[in-house]
Amino acid sequence: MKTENKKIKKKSGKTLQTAREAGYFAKKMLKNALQAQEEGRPIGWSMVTWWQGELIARAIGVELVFPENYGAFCAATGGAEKHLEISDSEGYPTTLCGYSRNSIGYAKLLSDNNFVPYEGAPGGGLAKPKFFLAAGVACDARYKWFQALKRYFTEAPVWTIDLPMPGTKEFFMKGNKELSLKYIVNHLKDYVAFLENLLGTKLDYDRLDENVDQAFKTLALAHEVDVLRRAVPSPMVGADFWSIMIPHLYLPDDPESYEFYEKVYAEVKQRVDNKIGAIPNEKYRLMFAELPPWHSLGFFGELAERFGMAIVIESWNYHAILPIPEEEFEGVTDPLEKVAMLTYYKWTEYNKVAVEYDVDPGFFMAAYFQFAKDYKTDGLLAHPLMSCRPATYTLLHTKNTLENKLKVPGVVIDGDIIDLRVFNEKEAFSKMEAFVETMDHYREERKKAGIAW
Amino acid sequence: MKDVNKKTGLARAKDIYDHRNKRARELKAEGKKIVGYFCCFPPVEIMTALDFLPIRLLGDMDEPITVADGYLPTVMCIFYRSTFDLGMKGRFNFIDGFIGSHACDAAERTSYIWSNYIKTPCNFFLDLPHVDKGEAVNYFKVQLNYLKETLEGLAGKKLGIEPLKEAISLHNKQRKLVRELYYLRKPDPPLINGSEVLQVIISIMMIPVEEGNELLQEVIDEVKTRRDIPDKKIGRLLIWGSLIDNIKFTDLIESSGLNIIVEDTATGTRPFWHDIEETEDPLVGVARHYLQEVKCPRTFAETDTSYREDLENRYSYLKDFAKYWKINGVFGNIIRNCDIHGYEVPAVKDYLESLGLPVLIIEQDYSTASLEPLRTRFQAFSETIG
Amino acid sequence: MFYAGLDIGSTITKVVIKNERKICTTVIKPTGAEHRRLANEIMEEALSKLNLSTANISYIVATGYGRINVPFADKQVTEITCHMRGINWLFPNVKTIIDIGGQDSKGIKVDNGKLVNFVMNDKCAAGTGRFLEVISDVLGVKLEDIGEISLQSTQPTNISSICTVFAEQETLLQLSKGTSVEDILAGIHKANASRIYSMVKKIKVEKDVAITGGGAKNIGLCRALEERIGFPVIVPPEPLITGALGAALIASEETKKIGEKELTEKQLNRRWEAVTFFDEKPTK
Repeated sequence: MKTENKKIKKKSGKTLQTAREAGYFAKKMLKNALQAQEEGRPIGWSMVTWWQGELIARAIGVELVFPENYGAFCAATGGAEKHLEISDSEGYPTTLCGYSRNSIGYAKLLSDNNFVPYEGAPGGGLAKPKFFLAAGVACDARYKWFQALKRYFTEAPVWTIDLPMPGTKEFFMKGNKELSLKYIVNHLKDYVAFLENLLGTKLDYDRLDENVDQAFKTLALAHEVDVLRRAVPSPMVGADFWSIMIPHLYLPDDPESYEFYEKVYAEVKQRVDNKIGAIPNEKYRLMFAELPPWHSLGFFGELAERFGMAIVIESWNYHAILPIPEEEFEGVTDPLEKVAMLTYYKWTEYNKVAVEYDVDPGFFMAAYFQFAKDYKTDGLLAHPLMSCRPATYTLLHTKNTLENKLKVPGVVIDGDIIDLRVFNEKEAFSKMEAFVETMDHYREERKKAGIAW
Repeated sequence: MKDVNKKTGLARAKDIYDHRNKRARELKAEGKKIVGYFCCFPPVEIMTALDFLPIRLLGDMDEPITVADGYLPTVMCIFYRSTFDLGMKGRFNFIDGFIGSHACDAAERTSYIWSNYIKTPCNFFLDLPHVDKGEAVNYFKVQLNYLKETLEGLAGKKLGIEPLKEAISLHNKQRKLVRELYYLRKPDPPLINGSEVLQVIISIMMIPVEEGNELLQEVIDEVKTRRDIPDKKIGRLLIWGSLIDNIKFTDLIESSGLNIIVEDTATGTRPFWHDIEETEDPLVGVARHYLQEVKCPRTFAETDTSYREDLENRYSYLKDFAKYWKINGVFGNIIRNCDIHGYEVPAVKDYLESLGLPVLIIEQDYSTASLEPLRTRFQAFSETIG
Repeated sequence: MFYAGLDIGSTITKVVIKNERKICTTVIKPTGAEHRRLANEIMEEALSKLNLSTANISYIVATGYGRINVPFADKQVTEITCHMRGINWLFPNVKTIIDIGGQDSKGIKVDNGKLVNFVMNDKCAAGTGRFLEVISDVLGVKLEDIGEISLQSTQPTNISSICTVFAEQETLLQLSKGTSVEDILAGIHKANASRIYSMVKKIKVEKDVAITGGGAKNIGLCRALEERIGFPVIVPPEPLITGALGAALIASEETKKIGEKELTEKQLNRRWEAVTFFDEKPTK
């Protein structure tokens, strides 16, 4: 099939029916926020906190919206540039996280317009927040950004929900895990007190407990789907995942999310049982790190068509947590403790693997070693982002180490979260075409080294 | 007997600054163990108490970054990129221990990548909470305990309470002497210039604390009675932000109509402005000091207040500095890609301008090769003051 | 008494000689590679136009990128202050100055004849004259014509403003699509203006606004800036000399600060030699 002169089709790359239905949850989140606004209920602007912040906020009746998402949305719809210009002229460096610059520009416009979203604001804009839920985990921007926004929302408090981020070796030092969990629980108690004071209402711990249990159920099921994906041929690809992840990442405590995952599981299982691949001619199984080019997911559909490449596993940070052994829950009744375990274990879940391969850190990195084996992968597609450092810092290091220790090669394709022109599709395809040969070569290398899968 | 040819005071500081690993290598040859650390958060008191020589790991603005490309992305803090580059080139191959820290993203991730590619007999990553209230100090104390354990392994002995208390006392003395030195910049013109102070500060981060204290005392005595004081200039500058560790930069600033009077940076007041409280369990005082008193925007200041109150909470110490040293201009130094200081720019400008202070913000590339174009900005800034 | 201001820019060097009341002569020449030697030559040319000798000049101020290498200057002042002083003398109501050079652009804020704030872009080509130079090359149009041509457009193309390299690619793409040169140029001027405006906004754009530097000679760029700013801007009749003029004004001020004796001493001790790369014996 002649591919040289073929125009790049703008397909979504999705192969699952349920992936096409997942958009419902994104809309639901927006709808909930608008409803809260209408009913005079408080809204918080939040970072993704890997569940600890969201579960507690929702249990106490706060609706959260996520400016990170809004950044991706503005970028994809062309509405970001106006915001970026404003951020620049306000004096914020142009090197800052693209999503934060977008949100700063939007915040200024909102503040100047008496807190009414301006006409033509992408997606109708985000409503004025009562408070900000910043996060200390993953990167500095995630709390500095909201602290900076206080300039435009002068009375709204900023709460930073932090998380211990030990090194892999340090994590295993005697007592560190237990003492860290204790700290997190106390830290969460402060967060609860803050919310109770802000809203003038008490947290219903029973309700929180229910939500937390539901969240664990949903995440467990989402993990089962991840396990199903190990099959050859792969029943589901990256473009599917980046769609269906919304309910488990943002709304795991919503019973509708669980129902949705039952459908996802059924659809994926059906393919596995009948050896149906997500893409017709699966030749190469790839991992993808870390944040996808949301605006160009069709790129992956094209990769599938041209080269038989399937993204069989991706984006460690978005995945459901690995199951926590039952023993860990013995004697645990406080829902805050369960929440602490949920987030802390997510961020330390691959530390054992890290120690096994003698690498650091465990997050953003070690997962790909396990993935490589579990998903029998041929290569890593590394996607450095110009204005997102946390998702970029360890990519080269991951690529180097995978190549050395597991003979799994990597290819680097640059992009950005807000400046979409950094991702050059034409160049990307050339690189991927060349990468086919590299992957073939390393298949041989793995065989020779006796570590083939 | 005192060696008459041995340099003292400012001359000695310049010497150490120019050959900053020399003393460490000398001591290593005599059997002392050297521990390198990132930023001003790993407690040097613990290292001193276990008979190590703590070395602050810095970059080099004179050295082009050539090796780091295969390991670290280009769009990141250039200072840590440089530091890693030097590490890979063997500049610190004499250290026995490497202490990385969660001072900021760049320090954190570079710490990990460092331990992967630059092998040291002992390494430890010190996690630092981003918040400093409530239980955070306890969590940090727990991490300090693990640091202590790790270093005890390297030292081959346990850390006793008395040696730790003594080390705290010595390092507190150093802080006091640094403050004394800074007070000599109060007159107009100051008795000591910015490049000279920088040489002293860098020096004391490269030699044992007792030698550092001796050096500081020599410098203070020398400066108090010197005749060749700096020229009077229009600008009395406060530097806020990312660190400066090369006198070519301070020379350029001070040849543009500005006298550098005080630096609110990691190679300025931040490590030295508060003493560690001598608590019964010394680690409590240590934990509190490093988490709550080392003033850096990497630590999140709780904002349950209005914007004005928030600014006051975060920056009121700058008002005190400005008043005491009669500052008439502020240079906001941002090493390119520094998020910690980058996000602060409009807020700190708001605050300083409300005090009537003009502010010059420059994002720079941590390289002496790209310094000259900055001259015009500094000169023009001095022209706005005068 | 005569005063001289010398502005050695990265692309163009200018001299202004004035007396108490008016500008007596100006010289504008490309800087070239050897600006150190040129400073001498251009001074001599200006002096010969007035039949003066070096001894007639009471005070000389040098400014611009090459100001450090003028051994016969009595003082160096940044081009920021000099542009401000020059414009302030010509148009006392101007509060904001936008200087657009070949290699950099600046925003300058004036209040009562004093420099109060400034912002510079010397890192990124997209906000400088270089941007337009690159594109005019791509389009095969003379740089001095692009402004006029751009005004003929009725439908400016949308060109991204963030990066010169991207804009270059877009220009080629538009050409291949058959978009007219004037529409592309109009889009390019808009993009350039947008980048410049973004920078100047940091110091707040207040009336009256003046544009100086080479960019001011580009009528398309001036119009595009006016559109962004929202009100008309002032363009001095000779926008290239405002820096040298400001320098000359400062020169005249400086003489009033020092006594007759010191002034004479300065004039006698002035080194009228060209600085060479190897600091050899003077060439004169």
